[in-house]
Amino acid sequence: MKKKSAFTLVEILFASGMILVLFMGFVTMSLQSHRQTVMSRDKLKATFYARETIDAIRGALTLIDSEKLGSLSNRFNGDSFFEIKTPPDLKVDVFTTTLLKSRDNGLNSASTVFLSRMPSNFQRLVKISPSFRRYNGNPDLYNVEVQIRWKQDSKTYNRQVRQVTVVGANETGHHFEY
Amino acid sequence: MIMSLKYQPLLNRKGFLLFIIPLVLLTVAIFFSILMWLSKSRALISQKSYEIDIARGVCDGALDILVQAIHNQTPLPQGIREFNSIPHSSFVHYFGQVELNETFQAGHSRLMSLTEHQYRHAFETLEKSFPGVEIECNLQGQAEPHSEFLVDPISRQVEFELRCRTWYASVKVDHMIKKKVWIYNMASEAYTRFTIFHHDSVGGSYNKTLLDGAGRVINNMIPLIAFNHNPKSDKSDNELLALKKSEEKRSFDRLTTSGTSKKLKHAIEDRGYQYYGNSQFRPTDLRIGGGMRFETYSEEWLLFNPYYEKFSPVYKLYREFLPPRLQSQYRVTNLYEDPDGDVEKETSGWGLVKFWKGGFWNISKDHPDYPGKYIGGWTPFSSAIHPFGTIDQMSRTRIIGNTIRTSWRVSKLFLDRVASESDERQYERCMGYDYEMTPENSLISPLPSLPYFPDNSFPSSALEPFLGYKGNIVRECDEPTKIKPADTFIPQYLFEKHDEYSRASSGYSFNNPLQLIDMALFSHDDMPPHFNKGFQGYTLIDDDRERGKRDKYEIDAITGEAFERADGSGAYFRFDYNFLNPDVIQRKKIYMPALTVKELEDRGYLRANSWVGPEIPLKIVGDLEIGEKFEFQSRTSLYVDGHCKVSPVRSRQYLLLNCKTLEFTKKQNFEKKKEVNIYEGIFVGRNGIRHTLEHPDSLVVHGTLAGSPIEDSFFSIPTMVVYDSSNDYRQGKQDNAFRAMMEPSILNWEIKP
Repeated sequence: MKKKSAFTLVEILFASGMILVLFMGFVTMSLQSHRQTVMSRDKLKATFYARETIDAIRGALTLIDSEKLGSLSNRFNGDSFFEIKTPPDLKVDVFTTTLLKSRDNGLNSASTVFLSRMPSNFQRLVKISPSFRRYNGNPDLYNVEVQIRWKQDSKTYNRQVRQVTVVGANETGHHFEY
Repeated sequence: MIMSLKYQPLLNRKGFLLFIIPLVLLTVAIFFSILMWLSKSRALISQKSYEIDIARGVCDGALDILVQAIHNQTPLPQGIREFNSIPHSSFVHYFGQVELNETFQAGHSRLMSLTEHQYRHAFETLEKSFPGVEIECNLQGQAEPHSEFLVDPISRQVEFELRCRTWYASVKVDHMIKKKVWIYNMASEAYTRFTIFHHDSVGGSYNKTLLDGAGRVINNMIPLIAFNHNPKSDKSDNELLALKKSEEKRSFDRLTTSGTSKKLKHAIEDRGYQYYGNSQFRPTDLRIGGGMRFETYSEEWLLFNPYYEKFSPVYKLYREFLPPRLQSQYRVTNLYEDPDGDVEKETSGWGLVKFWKGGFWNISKDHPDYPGKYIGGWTPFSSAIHPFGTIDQMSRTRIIGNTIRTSWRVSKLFLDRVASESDERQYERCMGYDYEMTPENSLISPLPSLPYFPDNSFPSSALEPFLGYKGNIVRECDEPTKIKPADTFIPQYLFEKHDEYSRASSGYSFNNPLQLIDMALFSHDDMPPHFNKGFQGYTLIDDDRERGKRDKYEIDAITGEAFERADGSGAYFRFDYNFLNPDVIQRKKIYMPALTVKELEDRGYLRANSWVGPEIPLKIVGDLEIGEKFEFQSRTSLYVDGHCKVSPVRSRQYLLLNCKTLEFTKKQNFEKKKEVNIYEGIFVGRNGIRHTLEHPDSLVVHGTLAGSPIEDSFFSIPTMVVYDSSNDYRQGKQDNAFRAMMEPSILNWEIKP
């Protein structure tokens, strides 16, 4: 009697089902991995953008005399966030923006910062507010908060990173030696 | 049997398939597991990175907060607050501790206790910005030893490291910043009192001494201070020094601690200054403000604030403290003219001085309250005393920078009224007005110091503001329209004739930088003014006069330039009456002989380590180099038309070194790395001042320093130079940086390097 060595139909069906289940699991894992990778990448990017923005603001505030800054009513004194947008149709990776619009060219140039171009699904929000003022009314410390928000698989901004620091106001006649 | 090998499809090999398929599946599973692991790693990395950046931002913020706290608690000289008001828990107090030598260390809790509450609050707010953030900071550093009391290296340099560590989630960030800060010695009264910085080279300058009503200096040992004030500047003068106008505590007592007062007192007095210190040792109560403190026989002295709003910046001296002559009654003649000029009445009586007011006044011709008056209003602007000093002590004040002196001297005398028929009538009329008429203040007589009225008479309108005893003003009262003081009112103390005094003390003149207000170059004890007994003028000794005929140079009092005299006459000082004439003083000439360095050496004036020259001003042709351990052994005034290179010099005599350019230098000493270079005297660099001292040698000028510009490098070493932040050399305004002065005739400084 000839021995049959092939799989039976039942065996094949069972095996196929098993393989399908495993494959589905792999696909799910793959998708999750991809999503997490994208999220990690975006978060890393956002962290970089936030740090870059904080550093740029720190540098700008250090350059500007607090006396001049304190006398101006502008977004440096505000309590709400303002957005620094990446210019549309930007061909290069870096752009400049002026934090402080003033009639004083010196202030304008001092408050001009270099920032990286962000992908279109990213948003950069900044809040700079005096921590408290000196006896002469000039800010002594600034609270700086930066939020980088982005959209991931959504039409609204559903992800964000946030950084906070304090920057000492520049004062004329600073008698520290650096 | 024939064996045949039949092909069997792999599929049919169940065993093999059962082996390979799970293997493939396992491989795929491993692949995806690695993928998942990688993506999780990326997520972890991004999260860590985010946490690190959060910690970093917080850490940097903490450093900034503490740096600001330290900065704002270590004020610059012009921001110095009263020393006693600085709490022990402050950075400036911590850095200023005597025992804080060499190295120090402050942990987090100590650091927080030193930090002012608003900074601490900012610190705590920052810490709460992310849940779970923890910050810990500490401070360590090195401080130069505290300066010797009154030796006046007023600053102390502290180098410190501020380190903050931040923990957030699983990360730790550690940031450190290094800084140097200069701590000013706020306890040094000498520094505070005698060092004034001026932020403008042009302005009014007024000497300030304490004089009594007769123009006498209250005490021979007085501080003498000159300052430039720029009336156009919106910077308040009193911000230039220690006390702010808004601060109620006016006494300088508070600038020092009680424990050091005694030492301070002796130190100040050893230098020849009068001490205004704590009450226990206080001979005189020095206060900011106008007026006279009756009880303590002291003047409330208007320091550095000629425009003080509330108090009249004049000094007032009550009868009890006037010279004996003025304490007795005086015969007074009042001349009354009818407004139509028809009636002229003369009343006379005995007057008694109630008090004396003196000072400088601005006169405005169109006072808004008194339109149409020739002289309508007066504004007191300085309690400066007679610019030429007194018979007892001439002013030793010198001017820093080009100045304009506008001086008015007005005195106010309240007199006893002598009843007469006409007086009664006037009294009745005046009662109808808001004027408090008492026997003591019914008549007022200013001294005739106004050149507008050569006949020594004044329209009463000119006096109206002075009638305001207790704030009341006499208007349209039938008072005498002219008041002519009796001859007995002329104070013989100051000038032989009072009109001379009034002419000299009232006027408008330009003054040369560093010119003595009273005398050119030398103080009064060298060259007494003509009103001193026996003064007949001053000329050089014969040799110098003969030489002066050959060396015919003079200095323009306005430009400071020396040039050859046109008339060819000899060199001498012209200190006759015209010297005090305000018309003449505007173009005053100083004549001096001119010599080369070789001639100076030949004559024995300039020696290897000393100068023993004639006590007259000399011009040196060419450059001058002064080596180390050099001592000026005679009163010296040198006008050098070249470059001066000066090592630390000692001078127990008056020294003025006026050079075209001035360089403070010292030969390099490798053995002693740190040392204080002390220069005693007045140093002028007309075209600039610089130093070539090795860092960190400090430079201390016991005297005066003036120059325009002062090179940036000057500020790179510890010096006694006090600068206003608005003239910070980093701001590019160093051209106007002047070192203020200390009277150079104080010759007994204790130098303890």
